[in-house]
Amino acid sequence: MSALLELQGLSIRLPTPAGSRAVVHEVDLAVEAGQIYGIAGESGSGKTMTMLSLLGLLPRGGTVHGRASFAGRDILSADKKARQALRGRDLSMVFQDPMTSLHPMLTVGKQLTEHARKHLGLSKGEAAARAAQMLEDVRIPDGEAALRAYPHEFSGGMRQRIAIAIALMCEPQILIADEPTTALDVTVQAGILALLDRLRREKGMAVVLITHDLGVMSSIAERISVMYAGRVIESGDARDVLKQPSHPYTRGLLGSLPQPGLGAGTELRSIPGVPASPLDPPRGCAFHPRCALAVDACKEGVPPLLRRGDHAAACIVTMRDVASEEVVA
Amino acid sequence: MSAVDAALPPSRLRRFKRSRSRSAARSWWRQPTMLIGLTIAAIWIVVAIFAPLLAPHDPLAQDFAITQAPSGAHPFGTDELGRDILSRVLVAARNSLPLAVLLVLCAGTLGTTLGVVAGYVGGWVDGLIMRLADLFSAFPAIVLAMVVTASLGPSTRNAVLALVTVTWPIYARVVRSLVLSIGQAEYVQAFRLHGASARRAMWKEVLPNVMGPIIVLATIYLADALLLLAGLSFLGLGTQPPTPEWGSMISVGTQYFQNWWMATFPGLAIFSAALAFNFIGDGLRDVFDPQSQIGSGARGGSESVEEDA
Amino acid sequence: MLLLIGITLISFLLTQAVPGDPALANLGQHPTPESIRAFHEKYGLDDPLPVQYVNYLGNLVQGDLGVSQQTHQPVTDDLSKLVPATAELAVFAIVFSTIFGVGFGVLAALKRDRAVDHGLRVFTLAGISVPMFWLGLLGLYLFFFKWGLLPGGGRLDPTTTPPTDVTGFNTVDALLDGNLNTFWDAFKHLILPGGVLVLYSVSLISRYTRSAVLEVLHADYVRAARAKGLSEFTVVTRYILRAALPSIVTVMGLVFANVLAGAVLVENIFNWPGIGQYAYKSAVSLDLPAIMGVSIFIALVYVIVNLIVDLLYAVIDPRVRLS
Repeated sequence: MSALLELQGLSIRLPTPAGSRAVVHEVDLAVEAGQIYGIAGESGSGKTMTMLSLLGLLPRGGTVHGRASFAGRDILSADKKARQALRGRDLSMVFQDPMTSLHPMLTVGKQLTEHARKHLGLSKGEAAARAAQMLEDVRIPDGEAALRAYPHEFSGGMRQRIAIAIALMCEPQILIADEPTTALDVTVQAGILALLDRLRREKGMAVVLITHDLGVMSSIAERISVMYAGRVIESGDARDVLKQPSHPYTRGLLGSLPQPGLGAGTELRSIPGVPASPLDPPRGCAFHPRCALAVDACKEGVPPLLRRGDHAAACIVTMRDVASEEVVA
Repeated sequence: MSAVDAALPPSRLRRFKRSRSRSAARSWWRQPTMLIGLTIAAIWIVVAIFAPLLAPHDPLAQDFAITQAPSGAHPFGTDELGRDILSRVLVAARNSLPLAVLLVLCAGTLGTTLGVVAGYVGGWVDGLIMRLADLFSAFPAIVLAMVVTASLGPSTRNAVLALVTVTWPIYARVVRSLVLSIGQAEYVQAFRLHGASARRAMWKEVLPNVMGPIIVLATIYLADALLLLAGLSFLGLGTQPPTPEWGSMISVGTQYFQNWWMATFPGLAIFSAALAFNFIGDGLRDVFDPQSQIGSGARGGSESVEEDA
Repeated sequence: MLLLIGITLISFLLTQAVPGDPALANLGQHPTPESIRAFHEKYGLDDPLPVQYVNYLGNLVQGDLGVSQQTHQPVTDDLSKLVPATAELAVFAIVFSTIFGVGFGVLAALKRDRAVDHGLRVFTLAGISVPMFWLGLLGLYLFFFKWGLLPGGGRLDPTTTPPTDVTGFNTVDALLDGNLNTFWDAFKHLILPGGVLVLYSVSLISRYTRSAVLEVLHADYVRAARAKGLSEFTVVTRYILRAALPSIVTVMGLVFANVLAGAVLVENIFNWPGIGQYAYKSAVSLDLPAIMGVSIFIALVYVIVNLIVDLLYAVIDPRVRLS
């Protein structure tokens, strides 16, 4: 059975003042229908770029290589019209900052209905009715009145709910949520996550959840890929990855996560150093300058994703047993 | 507030505000328009300095050969009194360019001073200065200048005076808003915490940070000053004959407009000089505001990578 | 309101600073002492200054700007006759420059750093650098004198019967009359003076529009709009242009002032019977009531335009409406 969304060897190049640079390298992903798929990583790891490339929304001059298919159809080679029809209808995206992702001068109703009318051919009345229903689904009280309001009349959490409602208007098969809770208060975060999970169950759609916060992942994601400097460095079943992280970077990320089980005196460990720039990554394994386990070989070549069952990690040290068998994904 | 906005839209203001924190050492030379502007400006400065040596004829010498079309002897032709137009255009540069600079210097100094005072002192002083600024910019520059020169009598000095009166609010507004934003900045607060007096903080910290945007503004308005002065002279309210002046030469040209050369060449002189200053000002703004210079693809890229938090 | 009082005070004081005696400027070559005295009497020139000012203000409130010493008509009558001519010119200039200016600005921003952008940058810089009065003259020389394509000045050909006065706009009135020939004649007279004003305003609007659009081009909500699958046209018009609109409206205030100022120069070149020409004529003949009347009128228009701009903000941006 082929996955709903499948990326194979997807690479992205962006123009920089110093010339074109690859910022995402050979990414493989497979998202099944109805699944919550987490993509984790620090700033600049290429998570957002990867998702934008699927929508055809890379910054000017950006190029994509490799393959990406949605429901068996190749989406990278599709023409402009076809991709426009795909966006917002089958593939929706919610952005990080709800304070800036809604147009300040258009009513909520307008922003909820315009693409539904375009994609689904709804009349004004039908679209409005659907929008009011959608606002109720995301738990915005008095949807009818909210349609006539402007974004600034709502709080951040409410605005993110509205943004999600906009993304859900055409009942997409995949919702890409790019750090949907980062800009929000902790108390609001849980509500948004619960909302995403409930909507997934009710509407049967897949959710790609992009976040740097593994804590967010652990509560709802089924599968996880971790990215560093434009590469997937670990992926697998969420429970496996979070319980037995195989890449030192993932371990570091988890180490810097507050654990409820640990006492107050326990020190929070963080990964030393700064994240590698995807524009100019260190040679070999991009993580080696920050890695406690690094050996000389780490500086040599980019480590391949090594599989142990369903769980893969790109580390020649922790995956030494697999590496010797030379099972390269 | 409305008049403030009208004189300088927020986007432009923001641009000036933003510029102070950026490094000025950008590759401005990559802009061909900047280079062209600098070249033309340099040529005009040389002309202004050496005009008497460069001019083939005495700009005031009259001749019986009146209103002659351009020829070898008179490349730009002659005017209604048989004076050589090329020589007059060249010598007029000595008059027009320093006047424009003087105008910008006076208005810039007055405006900057008032703007710093308004922004720094605040309170009723601020209110008074800004209401005055509103008042003087409620007239289109040339109309108020017309009234002023008409009342005080048409002369070069009065034309400059009139234009200073109407152009200082531009500088005052920009400087005031810069001072307000810088004054809140932590380093200025820190400076004052270290015991520096308000006045010292103003001169040592605030003013130097305001200079960059002011220079950009002044360059752009140098072109405006040139056009305004020429406009007043064109109306007969600026420099009086027989002193050669571009605007008044064009004014004479209107009465003889079938003799195209009489107005065309002085006009080209104004146009090229104003264009040069606008080219430079535009380039300088890019220097102070790198956002508008870097290719957008690259910019979008780096921006989005940063966003990927 | 304070602003208006200030404006009247300034123009009043300025006109008092006139060194010459307006009587001498207006009574011809050899005025007799009696006629000078009569002139002073008539215009209240011997009263103390504050009295003159208060009298003036009192009359002003009643819509009386005094009598022009040049036309011997009430200044308000003169103005009401001339304003439509200038207004027609200004509306022509503003309508066309807004259409093209916004279009060019958006185009330049979207094609940033491409050839179109660079071309428009040079064009608009040239547009704000060219002396309007020279351009007008050049236009007259080429289109009227050399090629005979367009009329040489005025609002209508002397042979054309003016249309019935309804709006004061010859083009509109001609259309209301259903007289296409008159409309065409009036329109032809507008092209050169209007075109000169348009070139400058187009450049101004285009430059501000470009930077306003660039400010919002990479906004999150624009990306979100694209992610919704809206067409590029919808994204540009509904999202980008809408967000840039407040800045563009702001420039319109500036453009309006520049068109009025430009009208002074342009009307004189094209013999356009509007308030610009009137202002100039009264300035050179030291016609005090007329100068004051015109400058107060222009300042008033300017204040009103800025008021409208402020109101437009509230219409455009719901966030302004709240505060």
